[in-house]
Amino acid sequence: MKNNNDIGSNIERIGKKRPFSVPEGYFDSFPEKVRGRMSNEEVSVVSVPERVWQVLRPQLSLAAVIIGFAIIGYIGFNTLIQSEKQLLSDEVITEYVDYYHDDFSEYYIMGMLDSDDIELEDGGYFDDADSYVDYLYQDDINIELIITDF
Amino acid sequence: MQEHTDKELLILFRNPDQKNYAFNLIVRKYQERLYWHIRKLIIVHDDTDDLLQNTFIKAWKGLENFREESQIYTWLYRIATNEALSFLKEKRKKFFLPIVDVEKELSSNLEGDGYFDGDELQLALQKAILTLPEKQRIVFNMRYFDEMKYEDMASILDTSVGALKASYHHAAKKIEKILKNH
Repeated sequence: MKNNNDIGSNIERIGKKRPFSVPEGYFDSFPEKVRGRMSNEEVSVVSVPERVWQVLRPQLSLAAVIIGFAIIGYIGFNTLIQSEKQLLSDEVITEYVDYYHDDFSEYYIMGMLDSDDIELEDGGYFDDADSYVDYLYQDDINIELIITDF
Repeated sequence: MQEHTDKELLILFRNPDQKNYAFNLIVRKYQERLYWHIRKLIIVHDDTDDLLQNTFIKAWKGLENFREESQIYTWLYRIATNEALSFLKEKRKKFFLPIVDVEKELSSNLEGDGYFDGDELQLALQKAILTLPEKQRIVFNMRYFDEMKYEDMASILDTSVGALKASYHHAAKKIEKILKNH
């Protein structure tokens, strides 16, 4: 054999005999051992998802409850915001004005005006709503001045 | 009992009713050769037993997809070799040991193992083999003890015949040198 050229006399004199042994009957029982491992592997392939489910179930339940509360909270909050917006809708304001239009008298409107905003010709200011009315009844009102100011 | 060829075993294995029976025959056919292949690298019987089981479990899982481009025999050898090398790698990682220390540990296991029944010269030869780099050790064992063809070794170890011949030559020279001084 060609590889014998590489083998020196020291290796050759020891020979190729295996210096190891195995427990008695090892090779007779080994196939049975492998069959046992194969069955375990098949069982574990089936049972791994079940075990994972058992471990994760409490956490998943808790997560589901939290998500449920979050969804309910979100929907509730959105509903509240919508209803607040509807309270101030144009329809409501219009209805309010129509219902109370009798109260919007000249006195009421003039009372809401800030008298400091209107300066009279003589440099004075209106003190209250009566002053506006008196002023408007005067014959010598300068209409152009009022139009210019407002 | 007449031993089936690899081809016959594969045909049997692909028949769902015969699958387990065929695999059992494969285990019986190759268990000894693979055992000794692993044992010479790992030394300790119990570790070898575990790795041999792992080898056959992997073979069981992979045999469905086995392509007949290679023989079952070389394919099983390849799995067994990878198992043994992974085991040694893990051992080094686990104990943070440099290569020399793992080989020293294997060397001391030789004497401590209850299933070593060689004489002093055989012990010296095994210790000398354990001083070789991993790949050279595998090549020397496969060629010298198992008398495996270089072509088969090339297929198992995924390397060229030329590289294997060179590796074997260097390994034999180193061992001879160590034994000379013994």
